[in-house]
Amino acid sequence: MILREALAENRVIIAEKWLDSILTSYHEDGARFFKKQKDRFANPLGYNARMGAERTVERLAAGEVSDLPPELVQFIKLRAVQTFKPSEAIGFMYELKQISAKVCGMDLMAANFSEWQAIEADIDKLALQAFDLFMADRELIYKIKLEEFKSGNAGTANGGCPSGAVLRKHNAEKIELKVIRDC
Amino acid sequence: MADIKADELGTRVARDPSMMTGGVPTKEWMDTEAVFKPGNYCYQGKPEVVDYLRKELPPGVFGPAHEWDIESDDWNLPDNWKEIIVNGLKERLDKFRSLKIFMDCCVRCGACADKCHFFLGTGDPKNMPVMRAELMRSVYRHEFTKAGKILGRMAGARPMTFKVLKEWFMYYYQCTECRRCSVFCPYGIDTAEITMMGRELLHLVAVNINWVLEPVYNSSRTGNHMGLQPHTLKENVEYLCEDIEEITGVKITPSWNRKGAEILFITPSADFFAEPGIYTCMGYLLLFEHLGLDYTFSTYASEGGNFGSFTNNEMMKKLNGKMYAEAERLGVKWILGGECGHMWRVVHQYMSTMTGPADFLEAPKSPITGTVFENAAATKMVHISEFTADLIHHGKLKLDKSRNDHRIVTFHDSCNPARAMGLLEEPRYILDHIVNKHYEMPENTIREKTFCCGSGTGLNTGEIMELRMRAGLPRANAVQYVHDKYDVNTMACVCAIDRATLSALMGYWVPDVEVCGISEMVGNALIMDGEKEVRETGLRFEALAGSEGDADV
Amino acid sequence: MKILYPFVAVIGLMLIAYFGAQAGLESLFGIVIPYLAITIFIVGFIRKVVYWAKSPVPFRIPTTCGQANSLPWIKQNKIECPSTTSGVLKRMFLEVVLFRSLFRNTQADIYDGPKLRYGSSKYLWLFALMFHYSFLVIIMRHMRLFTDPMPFFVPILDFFDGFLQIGTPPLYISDLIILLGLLLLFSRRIFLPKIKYMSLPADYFPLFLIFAIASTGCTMRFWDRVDVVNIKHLAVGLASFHPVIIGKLNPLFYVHIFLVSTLLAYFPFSKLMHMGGIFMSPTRNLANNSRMVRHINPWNDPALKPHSYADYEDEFREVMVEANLPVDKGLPVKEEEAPAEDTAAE
Repeated sequence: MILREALAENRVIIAEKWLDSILTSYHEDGARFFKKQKDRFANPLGYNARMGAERTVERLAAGEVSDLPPELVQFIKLRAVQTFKPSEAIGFMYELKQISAKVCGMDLMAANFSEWQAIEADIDKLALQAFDLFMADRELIYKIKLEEFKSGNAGTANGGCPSGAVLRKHNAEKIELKVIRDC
Repeated sequence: MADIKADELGTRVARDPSMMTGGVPTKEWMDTEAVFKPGNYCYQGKPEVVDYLRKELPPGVFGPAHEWDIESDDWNLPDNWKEIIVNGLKERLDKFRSLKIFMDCCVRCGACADKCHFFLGTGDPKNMPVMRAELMRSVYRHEFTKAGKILGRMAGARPMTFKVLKEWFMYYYQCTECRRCSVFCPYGIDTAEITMMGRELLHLVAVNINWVLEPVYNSSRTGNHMGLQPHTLKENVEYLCEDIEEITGVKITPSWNRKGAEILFITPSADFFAEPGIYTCMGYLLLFEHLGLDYTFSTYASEGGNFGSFTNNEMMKKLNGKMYAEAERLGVKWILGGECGHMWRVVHQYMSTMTGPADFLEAPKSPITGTVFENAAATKMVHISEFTADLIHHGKLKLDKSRNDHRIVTFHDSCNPARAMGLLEEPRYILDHIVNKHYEMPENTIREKTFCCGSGTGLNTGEIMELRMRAGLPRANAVQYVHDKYDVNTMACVCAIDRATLSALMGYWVPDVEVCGISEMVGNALIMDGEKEVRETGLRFEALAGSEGDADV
Repeated sequence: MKILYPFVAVIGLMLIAYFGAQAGLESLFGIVIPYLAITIFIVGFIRKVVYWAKSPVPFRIPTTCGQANSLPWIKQNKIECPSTTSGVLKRMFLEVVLFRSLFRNTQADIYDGPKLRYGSSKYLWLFALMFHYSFLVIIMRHMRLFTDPMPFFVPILDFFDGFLQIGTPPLYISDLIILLGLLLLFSRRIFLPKIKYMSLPADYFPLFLIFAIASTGCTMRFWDRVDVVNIKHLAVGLASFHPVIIGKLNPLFYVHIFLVSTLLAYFPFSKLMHMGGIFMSPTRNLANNSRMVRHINPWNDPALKPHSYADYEDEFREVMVEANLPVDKGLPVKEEEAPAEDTAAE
């Protein structure tokens, strides 16, 4: 458990470096404007990402990798609506490997190689969960687009679309018919 | 109320760079270009729609319709487009003192910068309100100030170019005219005003978005932005009445286009056809039935909202004129308006000036309580929340709060009623009387500092869904907070665009929270004459707290 | 570049005056340019205000920052959302004198724990107050030079401003504060990334200029003393239109007065006009009573009418009749049977 202890000890530094590396994935026109924004309402994702990063490292150190901390879940939600390819959006999870290795030190890592392998596997597990979440978020977006269309809020652009109430009535009738037929 | 402990956030939070964006800009803002990619722009207006609208308005207000591709570098503009824009700017400077002052007075202190939900959500520095205005100021300086003419870029001036036009199109359609920045500006500079002018100028060369123009076209022709024809509209409300009968046992037959009614009721047409607006509409129907109000709907003026206000002054006036025209034709005494945001910006701040004076109407007087709405003496139009609050205050409504016990509510101040009207207490007063549990979001995200839904001013379209989710994040985040802390499951509001777009926003960020209009909960709480003995469901057929075996009732 | 150019410009201006005055152009820098500058200032200021005033305020668009005047039992926020002229005056007073809007940010502190967040914005309010008020005090103190006898408030102001009694002549608090305020406002522009991004040369120039004015002034008071009697002679002369330069004055004085002249001449063409603009901002100086009192728009076009009901009914009459919606005209007799047939067929 030597490496995990080292992770726990250095979690603040690891999280910080990890965050720095996440930032490099952003567009150059973006700006480092939220530096001073500690308020979770004024800089919602700054809060989520910071807390998320730290808690993820904590969990990694404790070997509890069955799920991601809620702050990181929120952060992935944001990545899912920013203009990233999936690999870019989720790739940052894997950077945790290099950063952890660097902070723990190569010697310590080599000396406890089997433990390191377990840690790497845990990071993979976390990353795959992040990917699942990312995909779920993308699907949610499409679902919301569909819902918006169905609810009658999106009909405008094509003019004369049947209303939500009409649709509901219509659908209900169809279901009734189907039920009758099935009987 | 919300209070977060300092240690809860940790001290390090302050030092790190932003998660939203990250990199420091390497170029000065005049050197970066707007790049259009699928998902970051709304689709352009259809030529046939532009053509129709051109005929409706004075010449020049809309440029000639043309086919154009937003992503390409040739927008197929008229040859003299620069001249048209610059002349248009000159004309607007002469017509609006606000524009002159806002062009000249900014000191770039930065107080507005982090107040914009678009900036907070996208991290794009040109979404800072000050930069949004600088996009236009730079051209203003070049064309109309000595310093700009002589010193050029040193004075922050630049000529009108295609690059600038692209920036205008991108950033004037990434602003919802919510006016939050204006609250914090030491000179009251209002980006809504800048954005309105920017959009007007873009229309001069027919650079526009369909999601604004087609609703405008529909509103003008069919009376409502959806393009619903009169019979469909009526049929729709009949369906709602059937639902009401099923839920409450009360049969309601509202009247349409009825001459001689006392009150004309106008609400955004989304309340007739879109979820969850229709439930709000059911609330209105129940309330009016409860009171025995002598009112009528109109198919001709069936749109409270005014997408014209997202277009230009002429279009706003043209659409708004229907309200008074119909009121006069039907011979009503005054107009009652439903829950809507920008509709109330127009009614409160523009209507009387634009289409008044409404001498054919009487000062609004509640037939139930006798209250004369002095604050609406000239415009003669009353907000449903004012009307309802007055009824409750006089004890004229029989309410059963517990019917809303399945809802733990937070109230979202819609931008326009909050910052262009000052309607803050009425909805809260109503809430006090119709729900048992409601909690405020953190102080700097409500009332005059409320965060926008991120999809107003015609930006509530599907092709920019991701952008909307980002822009609405500050709002969603505050909801998340009360959801976590108080189990809030309902976000109440008084705006039709909110009802539609916050539903999508909540669906993504805080899926357990539903969005509903205040009037829906009023309707649900009303004890109607002759209603069923046991109310099993709410207006959206949702289970009530007692009916699930909670034995609350 | 954005910072360098204005900096070089201010240094250049200082050098011009320094050597110009020594090259025998005293009356140019001491008399002609100040007169010219004050003329440009006054004419330019008035022209700008007239330019603004020429455009009408077509709509009443106050930004409401509190509860509006509504039902009598709902408490109105009469200052943040005024419905009367006196309310507007109070609102404007708070805005102009206390920078109300900049102060607004502080409230967030209470709720958000970490103090820095809105603290930075509160600092902006503080820096702005420091700068503007010390500037005001300094200008009023300078009245002693231009008037004889000096107005009653000058010695009082002088006493309080110098009450720390440090050094001879006593240190003015306002001098300290204005330099500090300028430094702080400047550092915001270079250390806060977003403020740096939005800043233009036109933002740095006045900062450098005023800083140079204040520091030459301080230098003349504390280190490189000037002949105050002769300067007062010139100043009173300038004010009474009989300017005379007596003796050889410190060239620093010419630098000082040249920079002030530059500031005055620059004023009407720059963002410094916010001094006038703040009074004319339609989102602040109008009462929120547009539903109560009709506001007039001089260019309102009464000819612009909505799509008329008659046209609407013409387009939809058939479906309206069919749906039992009342119509003004009714269907033509001939076609009356057609819809009936349709319903029968259904």
